[in-house]
Amino acid sequence: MNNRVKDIIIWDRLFDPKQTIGIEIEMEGQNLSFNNSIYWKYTHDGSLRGTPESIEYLLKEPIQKREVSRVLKLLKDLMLIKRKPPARFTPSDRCGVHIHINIQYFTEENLIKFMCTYLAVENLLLRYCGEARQGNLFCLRAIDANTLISKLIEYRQDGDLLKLTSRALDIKYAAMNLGAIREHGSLEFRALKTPNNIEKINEWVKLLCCVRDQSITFSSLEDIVETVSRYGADQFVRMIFQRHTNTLINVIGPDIEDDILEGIRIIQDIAYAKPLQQNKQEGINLPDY
Amino acid sequence: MKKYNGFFDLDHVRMYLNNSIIMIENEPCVINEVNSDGEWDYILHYSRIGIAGIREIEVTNTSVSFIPIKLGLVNILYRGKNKTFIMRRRPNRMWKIGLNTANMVCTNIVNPGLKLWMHRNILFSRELYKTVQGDFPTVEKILDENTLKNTESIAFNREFLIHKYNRKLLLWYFNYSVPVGKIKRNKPQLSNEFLFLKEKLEGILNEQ
Repeated sequence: MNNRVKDIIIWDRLFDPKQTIGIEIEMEGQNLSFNNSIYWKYTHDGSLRGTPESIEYLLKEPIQKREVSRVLKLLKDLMLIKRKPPARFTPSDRCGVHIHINIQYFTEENLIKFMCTYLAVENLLLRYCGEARQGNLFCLRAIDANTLISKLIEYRQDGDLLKLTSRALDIKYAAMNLGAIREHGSLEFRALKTPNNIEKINEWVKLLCCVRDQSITFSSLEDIVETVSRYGADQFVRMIFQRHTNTLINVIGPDIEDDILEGIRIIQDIAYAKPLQQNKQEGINLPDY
Repeated sequence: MKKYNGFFDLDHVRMYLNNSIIMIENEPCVINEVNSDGEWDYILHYSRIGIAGIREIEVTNTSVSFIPIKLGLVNILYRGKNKTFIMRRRPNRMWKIGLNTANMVCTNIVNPGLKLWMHRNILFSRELYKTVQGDFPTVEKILDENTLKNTESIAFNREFLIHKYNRKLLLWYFNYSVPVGKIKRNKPQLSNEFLFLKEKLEGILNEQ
């Protein structure tokens, strides 16, 4: 578990450790294409069918967290001010924003802590993203499609990261897409609906970065579960989101306890899963009492 | 609940819903066909699982839910014996809102080698209906001799099952591939290693 992910999985390219954020924005509207941008490119996305146009904006390279706000503003200015005629953004419920967080330099231990801390607060984050994203088939929560949990338990037992991240299409439509680890060296978060004002994406990135940054402060997966038992759901959420807690609470309201407890029950099964015994006897291993 | 506003046209609704299971009026239902009423809405033709008869409802009706149905352990009579399978949904790249053979996984934890090849039959079965609705036998009923006689394994909740192994009765939890306890004095008892499941198990037993 102390191996770095980059030593286990080989990608075409290792990014600079500071380049941590990738962004994809699905957009519908009018006059959506552009000629030239240092940071952005676009592709036509077959899964969208907006009229008259639909497009996906992608960052050419991952950027630093502190650049996100500026780079989103650059795209907005490019499309709405510099472009003639200006673009008209009318994203429907079909359009989503996918945030990639680079995990190439993570240790396996920190990677699973990041995933589990996210799962602990996933219900809250999906509520932040809006009612239409809860149970949405393009970003299913772990409670909606729980093969993700069984895969993480298996990983905890056999430690095989390559197996966990294989069969990318089978896990692609989870709100946290593990398939992107193998494909891009990142964890992909698919839950946010494309907002009318794309600068709002910055708030979502900040929330996800809080989860990443706080996850590595836990000493173990068990510590995440025990922190909630010790301090309660409210304090746990404040520990995770720090000064951005109000960004979340202002949208979802103060009623968070049930969602956190549900999340913790999920990761409890992962946290306490023991590695498989090396010399498993034939038949069923009866537990000790 | 907010409705799904992402449908483009009739073909799109059919692709997302036909032959899959969603909740309608708090019951798991199979969507057999979708039609348009010509102007404003799409009409779902559906049947309740295990009950004959086709009904109709507008896709925008508030009792139509697109939240994935609750899955877990399913008790099935398989070759004359009660066996328990786990059904889970996969978040795979497949354009179905409801549960369908392509986005579900069906396995047996007690006997992982036992594959169930009749996914489709289970998908539209009364047994799955019982799991979705949380309709399980109580521990007391399971431990009745008549039930145990024809049983290999049987679930008393979406997450816990009792497994008859030689002369022992073992307790299994759906997320783990080893027994988590046993039945002692007619009560499920967790082994020390799995005591963290105590609160969950007690909650389930109290509800029975």
